[in-house]
Amino acid sequence: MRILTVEDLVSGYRDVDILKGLSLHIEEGEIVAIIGPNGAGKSTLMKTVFGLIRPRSGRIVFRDRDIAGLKPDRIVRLGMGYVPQRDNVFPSLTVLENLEMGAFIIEDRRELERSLQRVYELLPVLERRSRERARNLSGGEQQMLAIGRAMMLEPALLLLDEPSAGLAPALVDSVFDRIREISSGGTAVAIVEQNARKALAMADRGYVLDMGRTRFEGRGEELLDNEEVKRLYLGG
Amino acid sequence: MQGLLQYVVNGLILGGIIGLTAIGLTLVYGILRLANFAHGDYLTIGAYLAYLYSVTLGMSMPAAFAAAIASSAAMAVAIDRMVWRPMRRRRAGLIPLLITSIGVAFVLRNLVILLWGNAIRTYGYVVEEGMEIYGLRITAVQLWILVSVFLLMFLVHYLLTYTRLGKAMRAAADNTDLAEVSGIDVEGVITRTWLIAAALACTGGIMLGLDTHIKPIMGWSLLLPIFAAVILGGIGNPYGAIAGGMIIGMSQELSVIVIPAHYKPAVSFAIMIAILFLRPEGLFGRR
Ligand SMILES: Nc1ncnc2c1ncn2[C@@H]1O[C@H](COP(=O)(O)OP(=O)(O)OP(=O)(O)O)[C@@H](O)[C@H]1O
Ligand SMILES: [Mg+2]
Repeated sequence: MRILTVEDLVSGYRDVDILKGLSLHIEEGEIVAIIGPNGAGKSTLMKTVFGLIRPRSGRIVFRDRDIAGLKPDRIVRLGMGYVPQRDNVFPSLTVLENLEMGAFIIEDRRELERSLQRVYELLPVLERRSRERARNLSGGEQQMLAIGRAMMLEPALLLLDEPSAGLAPALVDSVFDRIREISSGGTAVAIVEQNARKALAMADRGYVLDMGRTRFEGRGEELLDNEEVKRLYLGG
Repeated sequence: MQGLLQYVVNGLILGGIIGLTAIGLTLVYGILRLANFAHGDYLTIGAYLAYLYSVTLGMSMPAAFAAAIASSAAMAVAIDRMVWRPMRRRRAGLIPLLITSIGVAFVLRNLVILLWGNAIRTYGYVVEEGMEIYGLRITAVQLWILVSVFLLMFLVHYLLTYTRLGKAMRAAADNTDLAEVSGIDVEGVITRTWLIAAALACTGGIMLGLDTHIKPIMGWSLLLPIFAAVILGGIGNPYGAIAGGMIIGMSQELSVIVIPAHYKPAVSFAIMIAILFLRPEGLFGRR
C-alpha cells in the first residue's frame, strides 16, 4: 500500500523553481532515504509535502487524499509528522512543553499522558530532562526532542530532515537506532541524510535527488553498489 | 519621606498602566514580528469607547467598561483582517509593517478627533478627597487601578504558563513554522493574541482616563514609555514588559524630585536610549 505519492512536483521560493517535476513514493512501513548534494532541493521537498510551501503544480497524495496546498496544522491531523532540518525545537519552552505542543491537537489529558509515556519510553533522555528548557539541551538531546515532538501523535509517516546533522559519530548511531525502532513500530519514515551511506544501509529504498529532480531510485543496497551513484554522490 | 512614598504610589499606578499595555505590544511583536506603533491608539480608542458607553449612552461603569473592552478587542481583530493578515500572507518585512502601523495610528487618532473633537474629557467621575492610609493620600479609583493591575498581571502570567492557549502563544513566538508543523492553528492563536492585547490596552486607557482624563493624543503620548518598557524588558518578553513598565513609570514619577515635572516624558526616552546602547537585548533578554 502506498502511503505517499508525489507526482511531477514543481515548487520553490518566490520566482525560482527549486523542484522541477519531482516524483517519488513511499510504501506503508517503509524506510526511504533521500540523498543528494547541497542545494538539491531535499529540504524544499519536505517543506512542500508538509504544506510550509505551496506547490506550483503537481500532486501530493497522502493516504488517498490530495494534500497539495493544505496547511501544516491540517496535515498533522491526517497522520504525518515532520522534523525540520533547522530550528526544530521551541527553545524557550521546556522539554515537556515541547512534547505537549507536538500533541497540541489532543485535548484529552489522559490520552496526552499515554502519548507522553510512549515517547519517554522511546527516548528516555527526554524524561530525565523534562523540566529543562530546550535551549539548554545538548545538540543530541535537542535532536531527540525534535523527534519526540513529531512522534507524539504516532504518525503513519514521519519526515526527517537530516536528523544526524552536526552530531558526534556515537550520537549519530544512537539516532539511527531510534529511527529503526520507530520504523519497527509501524511508522513509515522518509529520511534526508548527509550520512548517505548509513542512511542507505538502513533504508528499504532510496532516492538520489539532484537539481530538483529524481536522478536515481532503487533498493538501499542497489544504490550503495551503483558505480555512478558512488562516484557522484557518495564520494567514490 | 511621606512625599517620597506618594511618588512611589503614583509611580506604581503609571507603571502598572504602562506595563499592562506593554504586555500586548510585546506579545504581538513576539508572534507577528510587528512593532505596532498603533498600539497606543488602540488604548485611546478603548478609552473613548468607554466614554461612549458610559457617558453618551449612560450605561453603568462596569457594563460600559466591559462593552468597551469587548469592542476594542473586536476592532483589533477587524484591523488584523483588513491590514495585518494580508501583509502576513505576503510575508511583509519589519519596515513595511512598521510604517503601515504608523499609518494605522494616524487613522485611528484622527477618527477619534473626528468623532469626539480635540477637547479633554472625563468620565464625569467625581474625584473624591481620597482616603488617608498611613498619611498617604490615595483615592478609591487609584486603589481599584492598583488592585486590577496586579490581578490582570497575575491572570496573564497564569494564561501564559499553564493554559493550552498560553503555551501555544509562546510556541508561536519561538517559531511560527514549527508551531504550525506541530498542529497549532497559528491564525487562531494570532486572533486570540489580538483580543488579549487590545483588551489590555483598552483597560490601560480606561485606567488612565479615570486617573486623569481622556484626550485624542493620550495613547500616542504614552507610546514612547510603552516602547521603552518593552525594550527594557527584552522585546517579546511579557514578564520583561511588566517589569519594564514598572521601572519606567516609577522613574518618571520619582524624577520630579530632582528635575522639573515637565521633563517627565524625557525620562523614559533617556532610559530607552541608554538600554539600547548598553544592553540592546533588554534587562532580561539573552544575548
Ligand atoms: N527560504 C528560501 N528562499 C529562497 N531560496 C531558498 C530558500 N531556502 C532554500 N533556498 C534555495 O533553494 C535551493 C534548495 O535548497 P534546499 O534547502 O531544499 O536544499 P537541500 O537539498 O536541503 O540542501 P542541504 O543539503 O544543504 O540541506 C538552494 O539553492 C537554496 O539556496
Ligand atoms: Mg536541507
